Amino acid sequence: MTIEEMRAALHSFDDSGLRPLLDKLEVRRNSAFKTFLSVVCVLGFVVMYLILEQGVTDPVKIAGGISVVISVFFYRRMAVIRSEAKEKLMPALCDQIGLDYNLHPFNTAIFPFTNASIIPSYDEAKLEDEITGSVEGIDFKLLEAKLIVITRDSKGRPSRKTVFQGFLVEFDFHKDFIGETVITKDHSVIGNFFSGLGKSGNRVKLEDPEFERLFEVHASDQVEARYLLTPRFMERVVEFSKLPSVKQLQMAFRNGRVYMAIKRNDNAFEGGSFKLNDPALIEQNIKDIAMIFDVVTELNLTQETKI
Amino acid sequence: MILTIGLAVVAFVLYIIYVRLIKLRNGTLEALSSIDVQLKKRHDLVPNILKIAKKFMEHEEGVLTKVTQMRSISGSDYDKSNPDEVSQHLEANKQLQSAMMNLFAVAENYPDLKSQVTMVRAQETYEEVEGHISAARRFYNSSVGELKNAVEIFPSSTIANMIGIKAMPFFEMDEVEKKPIDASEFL
Repeated sequence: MTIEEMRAALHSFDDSGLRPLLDKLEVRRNSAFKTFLSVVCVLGFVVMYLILEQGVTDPVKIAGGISVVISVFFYRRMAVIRSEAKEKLMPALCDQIGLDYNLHPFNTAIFPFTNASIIPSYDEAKLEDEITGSVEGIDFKLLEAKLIVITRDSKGRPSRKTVFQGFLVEFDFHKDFIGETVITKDHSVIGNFFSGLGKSGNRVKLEDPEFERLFEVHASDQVEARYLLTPRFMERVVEFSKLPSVKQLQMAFRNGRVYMAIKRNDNAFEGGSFKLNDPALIEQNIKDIAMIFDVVTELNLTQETKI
Repeated sequence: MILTIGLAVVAFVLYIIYVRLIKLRNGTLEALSSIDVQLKKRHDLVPNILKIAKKFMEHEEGVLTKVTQMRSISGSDYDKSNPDEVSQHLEANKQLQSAMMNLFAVAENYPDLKSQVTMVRAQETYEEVEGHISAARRFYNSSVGELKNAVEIFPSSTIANMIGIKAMPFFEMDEVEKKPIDASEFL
């Protein structure tokens, strides 16, 4: 199947088989949403009443905490129903174009990206939506990751910060190589100096000024890095990094494959609508899956001309 | 006391410049070696291609002889620290590349040769090697650019002159390669 055929197959996806199930899930979600709203209103009213009556006393604080826990429990019920919808919809969409889908990938799936030094260090990783398969003969694996760093203040209270949210993608590459070439975001002169201290290999200075402005390259072999990063390929990377759906791009060539960390602004494969039976949900998921095609076409990963 | 400190600072600065110059020269020599590694691959590949081509291109003696001559010249030893010899060596390899491109262009007129599996494989390998040569050339030119700046800009130019470090020649693309391709010629 060519990319165009895959795109066409996705857009002609027949959802009539899934429709009754999605309708049923939407009824459940709607009911769960109403329950959640009712619970929040009642608990909010009770807590407000207690505050007005007793002020912010310890028992009121405990009541407030319990209210939050109860509200989260009812909110989680909605999330579970949404996840159920995704578990039905995404495999069907991927199957339409001959790809495999796994909602909960193994935690080890992130290791190649950690080893390639293209994702920030983290304390907690949430991985989901693993899609594997082949696009025009190029094997790939894509997964969505959310990486969180947990810091503690002087009183030991934890605070969580998302340091990465987006796609982690690995593709077979059409050139043979044995070394390692890592392309990371440029952090200006001083930033590059400090970030370069922890990197293996030497800095590679390339000819493309736009590429040099956006990225910093380190490689174990200067010649191999230039063999992989031809002037045309650098242009393609720059063009790809400027796509609206790409907030930040870092990539690495290692073990015969290209690894990419594509930071995004939003959570993918969650649909563009609140309602589970809205056609916009399927449309948005199709757009998110099509990101794989964007990578292949923009970077011309299928080409054999070696430029 | 102040004079001593001043002299020490000047000596230190001169030493830093000296170290940088040596590093740049060694970096350029390393880049030149990496070009030679890739050129050697092409050098070794040429006889195989000639062997296949000879079977079909009996009437193209001139083209084949030119490749053989250029291969012989480009493979000669040279002094890497002598910019003139380096320049001659790189020029000879450019000539070999031109001769090979000419050979492949003429081979287009021999459909039997073009469809030969061994020739197709040899040509693919040749393209692969050319890709590596191009990458090595970019690395070399990048090193030469840095060395050239250091050798030509004061104050490092003075020290380079004193210790005999010279700028190396760029390995530029052949004019044939730079020329825009007229697609209509191939249609």
